[in-house]
Amino acid sequence: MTARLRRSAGAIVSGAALEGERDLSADVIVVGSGSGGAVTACELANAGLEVLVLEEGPHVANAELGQLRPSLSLRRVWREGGMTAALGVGGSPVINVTMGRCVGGSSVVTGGVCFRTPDEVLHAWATERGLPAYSPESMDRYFSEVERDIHVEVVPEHRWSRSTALFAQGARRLGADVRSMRRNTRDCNGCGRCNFGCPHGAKLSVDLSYLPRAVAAGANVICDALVERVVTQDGRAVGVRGRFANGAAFTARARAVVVAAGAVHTPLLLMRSGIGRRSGQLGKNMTLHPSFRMMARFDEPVRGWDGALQGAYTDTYAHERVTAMGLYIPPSTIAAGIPGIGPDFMERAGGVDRVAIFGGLIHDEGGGRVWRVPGREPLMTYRFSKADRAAIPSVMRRLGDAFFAAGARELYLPILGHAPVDADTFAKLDFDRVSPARFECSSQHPLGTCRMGPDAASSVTDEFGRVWELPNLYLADGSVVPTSLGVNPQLTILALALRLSRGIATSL
Amino acid sequence: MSDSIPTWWVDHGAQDAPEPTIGWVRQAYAVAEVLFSTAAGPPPPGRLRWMCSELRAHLDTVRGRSAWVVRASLLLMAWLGPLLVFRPPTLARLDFARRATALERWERSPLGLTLFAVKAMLCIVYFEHPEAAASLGFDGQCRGPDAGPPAPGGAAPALGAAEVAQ
Repeated sequence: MTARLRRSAGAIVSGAALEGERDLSADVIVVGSGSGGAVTACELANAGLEVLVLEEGPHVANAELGQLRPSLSLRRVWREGGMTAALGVGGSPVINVTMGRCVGGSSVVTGGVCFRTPDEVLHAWATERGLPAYSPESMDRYFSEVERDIHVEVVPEHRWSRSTALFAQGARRLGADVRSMRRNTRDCNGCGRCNFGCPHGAKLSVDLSYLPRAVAAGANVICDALVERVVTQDGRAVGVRGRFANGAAFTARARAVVVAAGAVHTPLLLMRSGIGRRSGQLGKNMTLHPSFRMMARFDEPVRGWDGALQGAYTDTYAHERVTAMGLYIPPSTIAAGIPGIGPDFMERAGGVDRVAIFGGLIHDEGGGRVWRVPGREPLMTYRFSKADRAAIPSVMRRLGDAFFAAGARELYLPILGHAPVDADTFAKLDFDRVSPARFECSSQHPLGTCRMGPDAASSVTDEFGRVWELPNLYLADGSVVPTSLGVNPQLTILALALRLSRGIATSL
Repeated sequence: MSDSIPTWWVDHGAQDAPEPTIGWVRQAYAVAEVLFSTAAGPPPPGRLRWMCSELRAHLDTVRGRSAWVVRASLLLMAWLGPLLVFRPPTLARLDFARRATALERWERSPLGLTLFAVKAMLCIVYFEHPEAAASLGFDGQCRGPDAGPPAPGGAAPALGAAEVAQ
C-alpha cells in the first residue's frame, strides 16, 4: 500500500494501529521527535515541505502523564525504563544515562532547565573547531527565537523548593554566586515531578510547543515506528525503513532525510546503515556531563517535592569544571540512595521529608563511545580523563561544604556502601583515595557522537549538519555538538536544530 | 495520611498478589523482606507480593539488556551472597539475620553496584504502595499555582486546584 501524506492532514498517529506493510513518502523524513526533530519538523513544514516524523516511542498526552506514578512513567516514556548505563572503562564508574523514548523525546522528562551555550564554548567552536558560523554573535538570534517559542523564564525564588533554598543558603555562605535557573515553563505548579512528565502541561516540552506547530503546518508524526536503516542509492539517501510497534514493516521515501534520534541512537542508526564511518569519528567523542547527587538530612522539614524540581545553580566553581545546583528526585528514589539494609535503612528512609539534594556536573572531555552490538540498544562506554577524575573530589567537597554551611546533620555520599558522615568525618575524608568506580554517577546529557566540523577527516557532518558522504542526509540533534558544554544542553540542541533546519529548508 | 498522596505517586488500588513462583522474583522477595524490615519486623507479606508483581510487570515491559541486568544481579546475589556468611545455597533460604548480614557485606563489596541497581528498582516500586509511601513521611502536596514563598521548615501551603482535581 502506498500513501502520499497530505500537507493539510497533519496529525500524530500510532504505528501500532497501522496494519500491513506500508510504503510512505514525503519531501523530508525526520527520524526522532525530540528537541532536534521537533524544531526541524516545524521549520521545514512552515517552509512548505511535506514532512513525516517517525518516532520510536509512544505518544503520551499530558492527561495520561498526570496519572502515571513514577514507575509507570519509567515504563512508558523512558528508554529502557531509565536503566540505561554506560560502562565505565579504565577504572571509571558505571554511569546511568537517562533518555526519553516518546513523542517529545527527552524534553518530556527533563527538568526544563535552559542554559544558553556558554560564550567561551561557542567562541572555541568558532575559532578552534573551524565553525565560524557558531560564534556567540551568530547564534544569539537563534537562542532568542527558541527562548520565545518555548517560553523560557526565570524560576522565581518563591517557586524554589526548600531543598533548593538550602542549596542557595549554604553555597552563598561559602561565597558562591547563586542564581535562579531558567526553564521552559508557564504557570508551573511546583509539584517537583518534571522528570516523569509534567502533569499540568506547564513544562513546554517540544510535544507541547514545536510539534503542535509542525502538525498545524501539515507535518505528520507516526509514533511507535522504529527506523532501522537509512536507505541509500547512488550516493544519496532515498528514505528509511523500519518497523511499527506491531511488527509490521514500513519503508518511507523522501528527497532528504534528517536524523534526530539523539546522541546515542543517531550514530547507531548510521552504523547500521553503513554511513558516516569515513572520518573514524562516528560514535566517538561522547560527552556526558557526569553528574553526582549528594543528599543530606536536616533537623527541619525540607519536603523537597514541594517546589520547582531544579531552581538554582552556581557556576562559581567553573574553573574546577564543576557546575553545582539544587535539585530533587522522588522520595522513593531518594530512599534508594540511602545506605544500609533493614531497620537502620528504614529509619533513615522514614525521614526523606528532611532530606535535601544537591547535584554537581562535570564539564567533561568526551571520553564516551557508542558501539553497535547485537540487539536493539547500543553499548556505551565511558572513560574519565585525568582532568575529569580530578573534578570528582571538587564536586564532593563543594556540595558537602554547602550542605554543612546550610546546617545539615549528616551526609549520604554518592559512594557505594559508604556510611553516612557528619561534618567532622566529612572534613577528614580524602576523596582522592576513593576509586572513581565506587561513585554513583548519572548523566542526562549525552552529546557529540557525530560531531560537526570543517572537514571530513575530523568530523561526521559539515557545519550544516550534512553527513559528509551523502548530500541529502542531515543530522539535527545533540550528536552534532562539537565539544562538551558544561551546562544542560536542551537550549543548545533547540538553537542548533533551528539553525540547521533553516539551512536544510534553503537547500531543498 | 495515605489518602492525601496524589494518585500520580502511588497505586491507591494496590491489591494483594499471588506468591512469587519464578526464581528471580523469589529472590527479589527475599531481598525486599530484609531491606524494608523495621524494628517491628518485615513488611506485611501482601505488600511484598504486590511489589514483586509490579517489579515483574515493570521488567517485562522494559525488556532488553537493562531488565536482564537487574534479573542477573538478583540471581548473582542469590547464589554468591550466601558465601559472604558461609551458608550456601541461596539467599532466599538463609534465615532473616544471615540474609541481612550477607546483604550488608554485599553492599560494601566490589559488587555493591549490583545491589545498588536492585535496591533502586525495589525502592521505586515498593514506595509506590500507599502505606509504604506514607512511611517515608511523604505527603505529595505541592505548592499550587498561586502560592507564595515556602515557609522555612514549615508546613506546606494548601493544595492548588490542579492537585485537588487529581
